[in-house]
Amino acid sequence: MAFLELVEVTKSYGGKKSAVENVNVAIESGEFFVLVGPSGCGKSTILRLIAGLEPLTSGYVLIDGQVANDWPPHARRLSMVFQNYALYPHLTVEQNMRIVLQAQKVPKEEQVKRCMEAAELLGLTDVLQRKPRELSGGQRQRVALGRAIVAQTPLCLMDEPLSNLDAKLRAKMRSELRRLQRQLGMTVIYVTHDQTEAMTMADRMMILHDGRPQQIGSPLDVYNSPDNTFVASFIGTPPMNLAEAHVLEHSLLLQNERPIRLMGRSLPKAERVTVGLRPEHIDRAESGEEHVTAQVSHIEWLGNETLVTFELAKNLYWTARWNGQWRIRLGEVVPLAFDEQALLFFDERGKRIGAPSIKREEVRVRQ
Amino acid sequence: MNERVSPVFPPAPWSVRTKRAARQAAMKSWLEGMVYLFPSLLLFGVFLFYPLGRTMYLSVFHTDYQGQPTEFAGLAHFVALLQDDSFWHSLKATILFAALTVPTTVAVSFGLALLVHETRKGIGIFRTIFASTMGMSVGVASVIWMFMYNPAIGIINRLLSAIGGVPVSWLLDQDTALYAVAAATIWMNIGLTFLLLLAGLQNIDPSLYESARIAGMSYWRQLWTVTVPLLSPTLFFVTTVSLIQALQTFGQIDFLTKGGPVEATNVFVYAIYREAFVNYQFGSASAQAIVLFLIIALVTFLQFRFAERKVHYQ
Repeated sequence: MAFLELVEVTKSYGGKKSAVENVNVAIESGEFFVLVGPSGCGKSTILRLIAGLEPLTSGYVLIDGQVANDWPPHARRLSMVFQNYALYPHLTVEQNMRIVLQAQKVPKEEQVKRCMEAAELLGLTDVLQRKPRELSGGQRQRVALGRAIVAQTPLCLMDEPLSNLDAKLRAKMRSELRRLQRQLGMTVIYVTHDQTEAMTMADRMMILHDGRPQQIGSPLDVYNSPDNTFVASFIGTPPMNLAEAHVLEHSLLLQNERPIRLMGRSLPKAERVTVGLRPEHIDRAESGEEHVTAQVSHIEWLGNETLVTFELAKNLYWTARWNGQWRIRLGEVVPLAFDEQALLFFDERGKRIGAPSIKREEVRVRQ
Repeated sequence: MNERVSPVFPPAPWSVRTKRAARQAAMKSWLEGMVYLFPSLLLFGVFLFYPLGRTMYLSVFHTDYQGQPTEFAGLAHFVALLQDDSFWHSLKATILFAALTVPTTVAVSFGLALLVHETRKGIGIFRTIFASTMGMSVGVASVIWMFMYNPAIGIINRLLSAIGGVPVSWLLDQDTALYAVAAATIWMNIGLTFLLLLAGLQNIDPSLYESARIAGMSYWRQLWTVTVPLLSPTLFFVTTVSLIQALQTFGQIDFLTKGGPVEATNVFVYAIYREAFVNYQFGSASAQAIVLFLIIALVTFLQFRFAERKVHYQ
C-alpha cells in the first residue's frame, strides 16, 4: 500500500485556471519524491495541500490509505522545511528544534536526547545555544532540517530547501540530504525548480507545468524518454535540441530548409513532427560518414567538455556536447553526425509519439 | 615578448604625510559632515535646543509678567516645588493618568490589530474604522467626548438611565473626571497604536505560523511563542511613545476639564501651562518643565535599560 496518495487533486483560487489540476500520484514509504517545474507551476501548492495548510478544491489526499482531506496539519504526522527555513529568530538553535516537541508534549529528557542526536548528525553541537542570526546560511538550513528530524515524523516535506544557499554549498547539501534521508528512512517530498537537483536527488519525480503533471518517473526514464516537448526541454542542461520537421520518405526536413537523411531509423506516420535530439548525440562526422555540415555560432569551454552551438537552419540553433577541449573557431563549418537511434519524435501537440498516456495510478478510496 | 612587466610601484610616501596634513584632512571631513547636518541642526536648534536652553536659564530666575528674567533665584524654584502639595498632587495625577491610559491603549490596540489581521475579510474597512481616530485632532475629539459626557444630554448618561442607573456628572465629579479624560484619551490614541501594531503583525513571516501549525501549536501558544516575541520591537516602541505622550498630555485636559475639578485632572503639563500663562510665573513654570524633562528622560532610560531586554530585534 502506498504511503501517501493524491487522487485527482485540484486546487483553484477562484480564477479561470486552477493552480493545480488533476494530480494523481502514489508515493511509497522511504521514497525521495521530487516535484519539479518552473516557478508558478503549482509545485509548492501541492506541498501545501499535502501539509493541510490549504484546503483542496476537489480530490483526495490519502495518508496510510485514509482520506486525510479534513485533517489539521499536525494530525498528518509530517514535518516541513521551508525555503526561508522559518526559524524563530528569538529562540536559540536548541529551542528552535525543541519547540516542535514541546507542542507535542514530548517528555523533557526525550526532547533533549533527540535534540542532541540531531545536532550530532548535522554538526550543530557547537552552535546549539546560538540564535539563528548568528549562524551562516548553511547552518540555518541544517537547523531547519534538524527540526524536521527531531519531530521523527514519517513524512517530511521540503520546499526548495537549498535555493537560498550558494552554488557550492548547494551541491554539497544535495548529497548530504540524500544520505540523511536514507539513514533515517524518511519519506521526503521535495519541491524544486532546479532540474539538476531533481535529477541528482530523486528516486522518482513529477514534472509540473501550469499546474498540470507532465510526467512521473525515475530521473533516467524521464531524461531518456520524455513524454512531451516541455519535459524534453526542461530536463537536461543544455536542453534537448528541438526542431519542427516534415517527414519525408527516408529523411526529415528541418524547418523546411535542412534535410537530414536517415539510414536505419523508421519514421513516424505523421506528416509534421517535432524532432528532439540530446546534445550528447551530436558528434563530429568522420570522413566518409553520412553527415550534415553546419556553421559554429557559439562555443562554451567547460574544461572537461565543450558545448558547441551550430546554426542548422535560419534561427535554428542546436547544441552539441563533446568531451574534452576542442580547438574550434566561431564561423567554422563542421561536418556533424547525428545518432539517429536517439532521435525522438513528438506530435503536433508536443506529445512524444509512442509515449504511454499518463495513467491514473491504481487507487482505492476508502471513506 | 618574454619581457615581464611587473607592476612595481614606489613605496607610499608615508613620511611625506605629516601630522598636519592628517589633521587637515580630518578637519575637512568634519566640515563636510557638518554641511550635511546643517539643515536639521538649524531646525533642531531653533525649535528644540534654544527653547530647552532658555527654559533651563529661566528656571533659575525670577521673572516679570513678560517672562523676562529679573533676579537670579538659584534653586529656589525647585525647592519651592518640592515643598508644594499641588506639585505632588499633579505628579500623582499624571502617574495615575499614564497608568490608566498606556496599558489599556496598547492592550486594546493589540486586540483590535489581531482581530483585523486574522479576519482577512473586510480588512480594509475595519482598518480604516479603527485607525480613523488618528485623523482627528485633539480638539475635535474632545468636543465629541464633551457631548457624550454631558450630564443632561450626553449619550453615556442616557444609556445609563435606560438601564436604570443614576446619572453621573462625569467631568465635574472629582472622583470620575480623571477616568473620564483617560477613557477619551485611550479612544484618541488607539488609531495610531492600532495601525503600528497591525503593520508589525503583517511583517511577521507567515511561514513561522505555518511551521507552528504543522508542529501542532495551539492558538494561544502561537500567540505567546511567535506573535508576542516577534512583535516585541513594535510593542516596545508604541509603549514608549504612548508613555511619553501620556506624560505630556495637555489638549484634552484643556478642552474637557481645565485641570479641575479641584485639581483632579491637573496633570503635569497642564500645571506648567497654568503656572506660566495664567499665573505668569515663568521661572517656576520653567523649573517644573525641567523636572518633567528629567522624569521623562529617566522613565525612557529605564524602559530601554530593562524592558528592551525582552525585545527581540530580527
